[in-house]
Amino acid sequence: MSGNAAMETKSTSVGTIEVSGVSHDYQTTKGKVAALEDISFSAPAGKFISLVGPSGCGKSSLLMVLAGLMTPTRGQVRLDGRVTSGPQPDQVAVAFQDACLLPWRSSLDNVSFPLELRGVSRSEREEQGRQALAKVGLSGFADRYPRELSGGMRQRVAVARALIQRPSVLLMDEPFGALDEQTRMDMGEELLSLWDEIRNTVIFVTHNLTEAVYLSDEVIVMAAGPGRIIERVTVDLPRPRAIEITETEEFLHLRNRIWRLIRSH
Amino acid sequence: MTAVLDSPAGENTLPTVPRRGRRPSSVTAWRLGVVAILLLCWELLPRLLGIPSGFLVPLSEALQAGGREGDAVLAALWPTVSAVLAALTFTWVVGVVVGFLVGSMPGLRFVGTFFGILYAVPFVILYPLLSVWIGPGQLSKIAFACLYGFIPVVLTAAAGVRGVDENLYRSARSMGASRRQLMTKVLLPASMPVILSGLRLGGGLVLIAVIVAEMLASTSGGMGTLITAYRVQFDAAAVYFCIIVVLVLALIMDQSLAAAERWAARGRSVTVNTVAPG
Repeated sequence: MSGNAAMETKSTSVGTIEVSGVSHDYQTTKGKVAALEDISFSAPAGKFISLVGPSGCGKSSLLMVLAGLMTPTRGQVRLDGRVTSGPQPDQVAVAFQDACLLPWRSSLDNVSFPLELRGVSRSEREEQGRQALAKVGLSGFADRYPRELSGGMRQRVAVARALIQRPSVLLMDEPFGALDEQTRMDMGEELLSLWDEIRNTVIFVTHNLTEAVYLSDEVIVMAAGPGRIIERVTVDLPRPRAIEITETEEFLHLRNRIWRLIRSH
Repeated sequence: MTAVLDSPAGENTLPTVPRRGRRPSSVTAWRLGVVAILLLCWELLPRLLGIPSGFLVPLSEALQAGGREGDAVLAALWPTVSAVLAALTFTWVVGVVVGFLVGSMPGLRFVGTFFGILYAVPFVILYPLLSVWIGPGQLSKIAFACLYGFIPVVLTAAAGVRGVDENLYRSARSMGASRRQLMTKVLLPASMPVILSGLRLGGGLVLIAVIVAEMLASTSGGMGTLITAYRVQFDAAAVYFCIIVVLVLALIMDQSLAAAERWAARGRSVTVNTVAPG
């Protein structure tokens, strides 16, 4: 299964996202709290974009809005020019921080769950599921239950499950946030090599700036109270990127610039 | 490119989790040993300590009484078992459906609160009324047992559904699960271990209720009626035999549910372990 095959099946969907004037208010006992205020940006197809910012800046809320899992108080999201409401499983896949695997299903049954929901036949599901597991290096773990896997492996299963949807847009909400630093960077490296084959649009929420710069074409920096975009930083480091790039001067310069942006708000 | 992916890098520490399977045979041996010792004590202690047989009958005498009264016990078994089965079917099916609805629909939460309050009522006081309204036969027994077992099944099922991790629900929704698929493929299996522990709880109560009803007023026979009859005749050995029969019934029901619970909890770290009331 190559990236090309995946591209062919979605000729009508390329994964351009336009967010215009999205605001979201929470109602609390102390009154209204603005989680997001007037967020607008567009993500061209095939770009890897990270959302960073302090906790409470609404980056996860924004991702839930993009996923169609949360309806914003105001504003709209367009996917390839079409205003969306609700989840778009044919185009958009979501990976959450805790892998959200169904504990009573094996890795294989978890990975092929999106296909089962679409009514794909068992044999087809199994074949695609095994291929997806192989892609994330878990061929030998098809029959394992989630709790029999390490945190990193569970997250790999979750990534494989997202990719089996062949999404033109992949939304990731701090997917490696619960992992240790070493595993986190390994996972980032693997994600990049997978993405190099697929080149779909990725929106990646993280609070780890090294991870954000290493992975992305663009880093959107957000601030809290109310959640808003303060700057969009273009990362024009060459691809493919090896992990060693994180030690170069250019990299550190970008990383520090984003760090100062976050500190100054 | 895939070289990186083929080896799960930096992760040679897999948690060692026992695979599904039987518990070690030494544990089984221990359990059987304890049961054997208890049975032996039952047989020997009354004789050694000279306990009057009105208080505690040695095991062998109870079993002999079973041989003597075998036909009566057999005849009493069916009314009890059939009432239990009928009440179980109702409480389990209706209880789980109601509990599922109460747990998954925020608008129905008040029903759960209502049942919670009702649960504090000692339903035994209702049996005399029921037997007057419906007559002291099988039907009033079954109705009484349903009343008794229904609420814990509803409350546990509702709590089980409410306890399902919201993220599982959200992630399934992002994959395009329909309402029905969310129910059958996420909510139901996710709450199944808890629901089953509720069935166990309700099952135990149904059995209690049927026996109590038979002891109180029923004229339709059954183990409870028989126990009362032997008690009145001062036939302690037969009373003990009937108790053994009821215990075996309870064990069969409880253990088959426990097995179902283990199956439903496969792959999960939480092992729900409720002791059936008794």
